Amino acid sequence: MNVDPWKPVPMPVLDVAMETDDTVTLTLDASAHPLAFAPGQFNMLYAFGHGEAAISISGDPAHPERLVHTIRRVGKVTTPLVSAEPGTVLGVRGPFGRGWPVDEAEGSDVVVVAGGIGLAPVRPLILHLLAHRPRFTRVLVLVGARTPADLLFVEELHRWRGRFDLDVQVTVDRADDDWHGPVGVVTKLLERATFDPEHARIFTCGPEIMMRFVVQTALRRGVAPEHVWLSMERNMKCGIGLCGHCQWGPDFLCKKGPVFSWDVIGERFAMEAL
Amino acid sequence: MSDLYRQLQQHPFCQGLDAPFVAKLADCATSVSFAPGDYLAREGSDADATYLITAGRVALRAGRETVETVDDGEPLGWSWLFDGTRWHVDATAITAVRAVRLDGPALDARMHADPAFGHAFARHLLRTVHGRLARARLRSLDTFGGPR
Repeated sequence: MNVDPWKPVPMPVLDVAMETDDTVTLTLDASAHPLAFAPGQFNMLYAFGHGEAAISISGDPAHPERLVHTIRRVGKVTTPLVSAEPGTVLGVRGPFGRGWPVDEAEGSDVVVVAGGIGLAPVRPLILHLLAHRPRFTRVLVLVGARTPADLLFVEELHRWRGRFDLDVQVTVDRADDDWHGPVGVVTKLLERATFDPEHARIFTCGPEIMMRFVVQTALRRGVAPEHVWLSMERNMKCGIGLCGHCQWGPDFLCKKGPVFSWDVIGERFAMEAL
Repeated sequence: MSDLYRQLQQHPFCQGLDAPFVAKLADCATSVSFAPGDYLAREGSDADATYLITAGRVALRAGRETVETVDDGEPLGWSWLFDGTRWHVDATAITAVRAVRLDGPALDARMHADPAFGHAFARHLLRTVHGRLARARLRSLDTFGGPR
């Protein structure tokens, strides 16, 4: 993390890749200030003159000198972020939060379930799993999107599918007859996936309602609640557990999260107004 | 032991179904295959069969839109349980498909003649319907449509 967590470090945009019509992947030049990060952590990205937004890091943890974020245009800060061009300077604070428990997952089957833009926060996790592939038994990546046009990292998904040590499955909620893959919600992939529930870790990221169904499916298959991990992202502001914007029950998500296990947060999902 | 019986016994849909019940299914079964683009069923046509997909992928389509795919290990079609019902969607083979076709009227007669068999088969089918309903609920929420 930066010495001063309040102070944005200016970093120029090196590359912009259009993922979908409203989502881009920005690569920032962090070579002057490499930010070592753990898979699942996030940064506060500052669009000067507009404000800050919490954005998960979607790059390779082995290359912190190239800081990668995948951003969907949803509001007044993400709109200028998505419009950034090579050379645009953005401010970066971070990395913040607690990431995926990758060490604890060693020796287990790892099932990554991602939906929509939720594939971005788990990309560093997948890259980590692949970089240390022998430490895990099965590795499965189950991806859901609204339509084929909404899929992120399409070329990379194709590359991953070509590996013999990785099971990648992709489904979409709806498609026309140009799509020959599965159509249906991502939980169906989890229902059918081959893994050992007693020795599996489920890591999921996506819309909360999707994650709720993923958890139900995982538990029904026999995965222990403490082995199901979710990435929660809500209203992060300061990033260091001071301002309270992201308070969820007893926790500040920016500090205790964004990654939690279901045994810790399951009850909160059922609470109204939380 | 017939080849059809063996296919049924190994099909995930039949897991937990007693052997005599699997034999009753086999009495109503034929082995079928489809080339890519073939219709297993057309919207509006009489619904008279359940297909237990053993290999390949089938698209359930409303117009040009695929609403769900059905893959190997899954059953397809149960409308024949209800008199006069027709297929609500097109069912089209996306890939080459092999399946066991269970004749609806023949199965219906056996379900009435042997309520224990009828109950067991209906429970197995209901499990599939239950899963399809849960997925339809999630899909109807269009979870990827709005901001995360």
